[in-house]
Amino acid sequence: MRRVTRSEHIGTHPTSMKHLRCPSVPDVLSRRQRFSAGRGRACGLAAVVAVLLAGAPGCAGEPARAPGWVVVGLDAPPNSLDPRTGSDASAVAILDLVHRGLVRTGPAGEPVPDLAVGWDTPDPVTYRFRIGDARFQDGRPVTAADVAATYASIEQPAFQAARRDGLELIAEVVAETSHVVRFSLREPSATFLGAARLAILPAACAAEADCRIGAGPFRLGRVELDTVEIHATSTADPAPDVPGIRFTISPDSVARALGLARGTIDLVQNAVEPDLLPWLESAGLEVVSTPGSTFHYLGINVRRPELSDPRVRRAIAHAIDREAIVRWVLGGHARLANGLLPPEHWSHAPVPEIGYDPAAARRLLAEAGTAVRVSLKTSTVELRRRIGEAIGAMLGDVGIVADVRPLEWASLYGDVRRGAFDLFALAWFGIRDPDHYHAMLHSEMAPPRGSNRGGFADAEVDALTVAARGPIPRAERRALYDRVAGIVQRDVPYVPLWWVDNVVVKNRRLAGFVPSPGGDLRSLAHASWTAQGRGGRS
Amino acid sequence: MVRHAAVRLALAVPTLVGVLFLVSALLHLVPGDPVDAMLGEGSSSVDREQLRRAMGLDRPPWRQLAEFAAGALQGDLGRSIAGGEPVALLLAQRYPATLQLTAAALGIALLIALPLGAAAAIRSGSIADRVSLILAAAETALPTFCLGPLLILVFAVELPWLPVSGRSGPASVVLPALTLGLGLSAVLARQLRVALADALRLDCVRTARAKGASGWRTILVHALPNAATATMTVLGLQLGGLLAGAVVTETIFAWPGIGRLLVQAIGARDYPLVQGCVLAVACTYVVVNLLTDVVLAALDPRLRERT
Repeated sequence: MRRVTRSEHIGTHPTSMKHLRCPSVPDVLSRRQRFSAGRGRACGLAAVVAVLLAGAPGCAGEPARAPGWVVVGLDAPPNSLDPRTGSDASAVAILDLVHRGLVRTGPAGEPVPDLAVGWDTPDPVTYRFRIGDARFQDGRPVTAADVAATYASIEQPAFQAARRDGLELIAEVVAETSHVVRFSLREPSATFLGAARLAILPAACAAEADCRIGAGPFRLGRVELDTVEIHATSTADPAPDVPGIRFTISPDSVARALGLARGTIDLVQNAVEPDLLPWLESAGLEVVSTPGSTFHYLGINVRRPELSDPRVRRAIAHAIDREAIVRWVLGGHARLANGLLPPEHWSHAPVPEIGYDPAAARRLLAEAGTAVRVSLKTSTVELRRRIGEAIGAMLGDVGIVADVRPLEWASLYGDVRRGAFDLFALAWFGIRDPDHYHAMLHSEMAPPRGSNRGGFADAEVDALTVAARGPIPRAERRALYDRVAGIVQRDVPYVPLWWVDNVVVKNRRLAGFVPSPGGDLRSLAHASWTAQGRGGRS
Repeated sequence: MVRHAAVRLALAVPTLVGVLFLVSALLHLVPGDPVDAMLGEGSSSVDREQLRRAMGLDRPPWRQLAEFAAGALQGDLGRSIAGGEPVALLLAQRYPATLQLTAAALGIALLIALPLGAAAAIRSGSIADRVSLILAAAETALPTFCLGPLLILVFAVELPWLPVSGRSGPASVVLPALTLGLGLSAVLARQLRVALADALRLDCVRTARAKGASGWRTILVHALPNAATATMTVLGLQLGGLLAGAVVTETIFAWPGIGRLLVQAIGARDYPLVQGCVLAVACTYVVVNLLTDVVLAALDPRLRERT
């Protein structure tokens, strides 16, 4: 066959062909040369593929897992691995296993000894802690000097963003002996022990901006993008059964569930959509649901004229069929709430719930005599958005026109803080002391000073929440908070929705992990592998 | 050619400045505050103001942006508000992952689109044409957030051949690249079909056939280069979509790329990090478009003459 050469093209069609030819391999090349050129291009392609694949680290397949290690799936990376600045849920989950404070939170929300074996209060502004025999992960013993150095470090500019819960109460921390440390307070306070939960660091490293040595059962190991590893330490008593835990970040809920099903993730807590739980159970995983303390509520802006009437706020509460939402949207993994703190907490107030009663809601709205049109701001997280839409529809059923607006977190939080809302749906997690009522309801605690976002103002609540902060016995504090809960039930400055359960999906072979009401993972220090059962498909 | 590239490069500067200004302005306009994200409620106003001052957030937004731009010109993109790390370091950690994913997705898209589009164009109305149409419709209709988990379910859970997520080895790029590349391949295949069918009707192609060129030679040497101009243009534009799509894909597959970093930075209102990510994505887009223009000019001399 005769080849059509480039010169012949141009010669035959001088105008139309001038710009239309682009033979990459010159036609003048021989067949052998063209074959070589083609092979060269194939080699080039292979080289590109090789470079692409070589760009990825490690070997093919799943990342290698050391024997006995537990892989925990998290939905977001920790914001810091220093306990003074690590404040998000992922950071707390990891750091709780690496560090210990003088006290920790007990099952009823009360402070219980941790590094401290006990404490006394010789006068209302002095707490003296006795430190037990414990060691840091570098082998050094935990002493009173370490405690004093840790609390002193918080005042450094590097820790401006540190958690300061209750720390402003502390005037001075002095190591009296090697195992006795004294805290002097600026004023008497019933809530100070909350500040004694701060993780204790070795004095030699406390001044550093990123101190990673603690006294917990695990020490921090390799930290990479989307992976944090912690290793069991021999200094812990008792030492953990598992040699280590790898926290892997998997931001997508469905991908996390698929990772569990495949067996590349062993445990996920509170980060799997309820819809996926039955499928995960059928895939051989164990779903454990225990009562939790994360409190979901509907915030109300009482400064808005139509919402300033308690009858309208009560009508909103009566309009929401919380039981239906818990059953159908949350898969039954929540308890209906009547207040801030759950029944197992020492300060739980036995006030009646405002139940679902659409007829009562319509009657209250008619009595109020105002047409109510509100916006409901909620998160764009799929589950939260669905709950927001359900609440919006229920409000519509009783005649309240609700415009549901899902917003990404920073915008939602920004709007809530500056009072740019009618209603909002949010949750409080990690509430350990009823003193939170002071931040939520005291008339002087509007953001940024506190969390009274809706602008509620009641002189009696102000007086009660201030009195309950004083150095009084717990029984007296509880009586005061019962009265606060009664006023909340009467005036409805917010609508309590539910306390969500802690839902853990885990490999069936992983035994000994018990979810805590607060949702921490400390119990992993007592977890171990069993030979029986199966987890996922690997 | 050099002049052509220089002109395009000069035009890229106002594009980058415009993108940076728009994104920064919008981010400052929407509610949310980095200090809120870090300190939360209950912090004292003194602490808040100290932190705001220490991070330079007390200055007007236009001044913050100007300082960022001045630093960027000297190669300093500032530090992340949330973590304190240099923005350039964070970008250097993440950018290769996004580049690897995008390149792999592009490779997959071309591997699928070229034979599919060519077969559809050569045998117009044939089974190959109809199959390509159905595949294109299906690939376009399946959003990334749906296709990604489906691929994981099939190829990582039911058939445990590939990793579920993460960037743990060469195999881990396959599923995210497929997720990104399939959508692009559908668009490219249909574009190539139309362009190649038009090219096959050109006088020069008819002449080549008349002069005895074989079928394959006519297509590969004469028709395909003519069809390449339109296809390359679409490819250049779609690459921007590929970078945007990487945000969703990186989230589903826990791929540690620049898309996820950008989402996290927006959530924390980490202005320097957002600006750094946007600058990196915009620069990539500009470079890809520049390369597309250069390739197009090489393919079609008329474009060079117009510049």
